[in-house]
Amino acid sequence: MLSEDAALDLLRRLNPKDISKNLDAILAVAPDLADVLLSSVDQPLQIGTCSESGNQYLLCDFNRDGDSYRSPWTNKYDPPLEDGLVSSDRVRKLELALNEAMRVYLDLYYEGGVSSVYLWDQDDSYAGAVLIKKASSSGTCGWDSIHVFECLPTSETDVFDYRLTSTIILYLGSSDRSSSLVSGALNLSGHLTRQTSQRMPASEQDSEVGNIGRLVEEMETRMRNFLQEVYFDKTRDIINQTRSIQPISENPDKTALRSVLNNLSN
Amino acid sequence: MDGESIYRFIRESPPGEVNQVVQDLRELGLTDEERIQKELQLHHEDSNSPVTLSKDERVVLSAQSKLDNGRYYDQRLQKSFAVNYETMEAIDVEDYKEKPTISEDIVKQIQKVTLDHYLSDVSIAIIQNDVNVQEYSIILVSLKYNPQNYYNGRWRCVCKYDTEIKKLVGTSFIRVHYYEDGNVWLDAERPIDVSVNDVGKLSDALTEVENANQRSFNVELSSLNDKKFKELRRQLPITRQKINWENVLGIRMRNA
Repeated sequence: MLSEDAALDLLRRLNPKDISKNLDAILAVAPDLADVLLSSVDQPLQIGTCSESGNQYLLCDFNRDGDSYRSPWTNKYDPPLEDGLVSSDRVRKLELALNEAMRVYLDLYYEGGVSSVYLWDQDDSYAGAVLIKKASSSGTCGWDSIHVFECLPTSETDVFDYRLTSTIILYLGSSDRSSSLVSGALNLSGHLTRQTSQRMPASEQDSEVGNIGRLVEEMETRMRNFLQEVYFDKTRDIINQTRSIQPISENPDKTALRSVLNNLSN
Repeated sequence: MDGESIYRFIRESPPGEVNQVVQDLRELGLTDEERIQKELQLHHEDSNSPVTLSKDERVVLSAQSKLDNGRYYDQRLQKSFAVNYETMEAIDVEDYKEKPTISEDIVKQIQKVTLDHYLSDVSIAIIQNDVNVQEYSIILVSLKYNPQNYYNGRWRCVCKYDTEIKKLVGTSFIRVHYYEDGNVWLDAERPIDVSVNDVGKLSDALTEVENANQRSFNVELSSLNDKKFKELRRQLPITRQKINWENVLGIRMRNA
C-alpha cells in the first residue's frame, strides 16, 4: 500500500529523536495506518511498575491490550482487564524462565537497566519479544533492544527454526536529548535493524531458553559492532569528505581541487 | 490543526532528501501546494542550499538574501533570481545592483579557505547585510550526497565578519544522515569567535578556527565511543567470555 510505504519512508528520513511526535503527526492525517505503524515502528521503550510486585517491566505493543499492559511478573494487566489476552500455560512457563534468564544476561552485559520477555501462542508454536532498556546515569544516552522472534516447527522432530528481527535504538549526546542543540554539543540518534534465522534442536524447556538466549546474544554482539562502525567510523568518514583539516594542496587527489576551482570562477 | 503541523516535515528534512519527503507527504494526501512551497523555502534557507546559477556558478539560499515574491539575490555576482526547487536551478535571472559589489580582498580570502579545506560540492555566499555597516555575512556549504549508499553529509559555516570591530563570529554546523537498514542522525555545532586584525588575515583566522572545530568534533566523537557507548553495554561480560547458557539456568535455579 502506497501510503504505508510513504509513512515508513518519512520515519526513516526524519530525525529519529522526534519519532514519537512524528508518528503521532502521521496518524493524525492517516488514522487507518495505526495498526500497521504501531506494530512495525520501533519507538524507545517505556518503563512501567508492576503494582503487585513493585518491580519494573517494559511497555510495548506486545504486552498491550487496549490501554492496559501485562506485567511479566504477575501475568496480570495494569489497569486490570477482565479477559485480557494471556498465553497458554506452557508458553507462560517458558516466558517466566526466559525472563529470569534474560535478567542474568542483563546483569552480565548491561550492569543495570531493565529487561522483559513477552511470549504469545502462534499456530503450531510460539513467538516472542525480548526487550532491554538501559540509560546512562546522566540520562543523555540510552540503548533500547527490541528482538522479535518466531519459533517454527520443522519437518524434523524437536528441531525448530528460530527467526529473529532485531532493532537497537541508540542515542548518544553530550547535551540533554530533549533540548535544542547548544553550541559545542554533539548528538547521535538513531536505530539499526538486522535479521537472522537458525535451526536448533530443543527437546525440553531448558534447551529452548538456551537457544533463544544464544540467538539474542549473538545478534547483539554483531549489532553492537555494527552500531559502533556506523555511529563513529562511518559518520567521521562522511564529514571528512566535506572538509579537510589538511590543506587540499597537500592532498594528491587533485579532482576535488579542480571542481572547487570550477565553482568559483566568475 | 494537525493537518497543518505535518507540513513541518519538509522544513525538518535531512540534507539532500527534501524532495522525497515532499513526495511522501503528497502520497499521504497532503496537497496544499502553497504550504508546501512555503516550507520548501524555509527548508532551503535553513540549509543554505546551493542553487545552480549557470554552468560555472553556484549561489546559496539564505534568509539574509531573500527578496519579495520568492526571489533571492547574490551580492557577489550581482544577480537576483527565482528558484526551481525540483532541479535547484536559478530561473528568471536578472541583474541586481541594489547593493555594492563585495571587495575583491574579502572574496579572495574566502576563496582561499574553500580551495584549501573544502571538499565535495562547496558553495559560497558573501552578503553585506546593511550597506552602511562594514559587516559581512559569510556562508560556506560543503555537501556530500550519496543516496545510492544511503547517506548524506553536510558541513556548513555561517558567520559574520565585522571589519570595524575586527571580529569573526558564527558557527560551524555538522550534519550526517545514514539510512541503510536503519536511520541515524548526527548533529554537531561548534562556535566561531575570533579576532581578525585586517582583511588579509581573514583566511588564516577562519581556517584555524574551523580546523580547531573539526578536531574537537573528532575528539568528542571518539570520547562518546570510548565512554558513553561502552557504559551502556559491555562488549563482553567481565568474565571476558560469552555466556554459558547452561550456567545461566543453574543460576536461575539457585535464585528460585
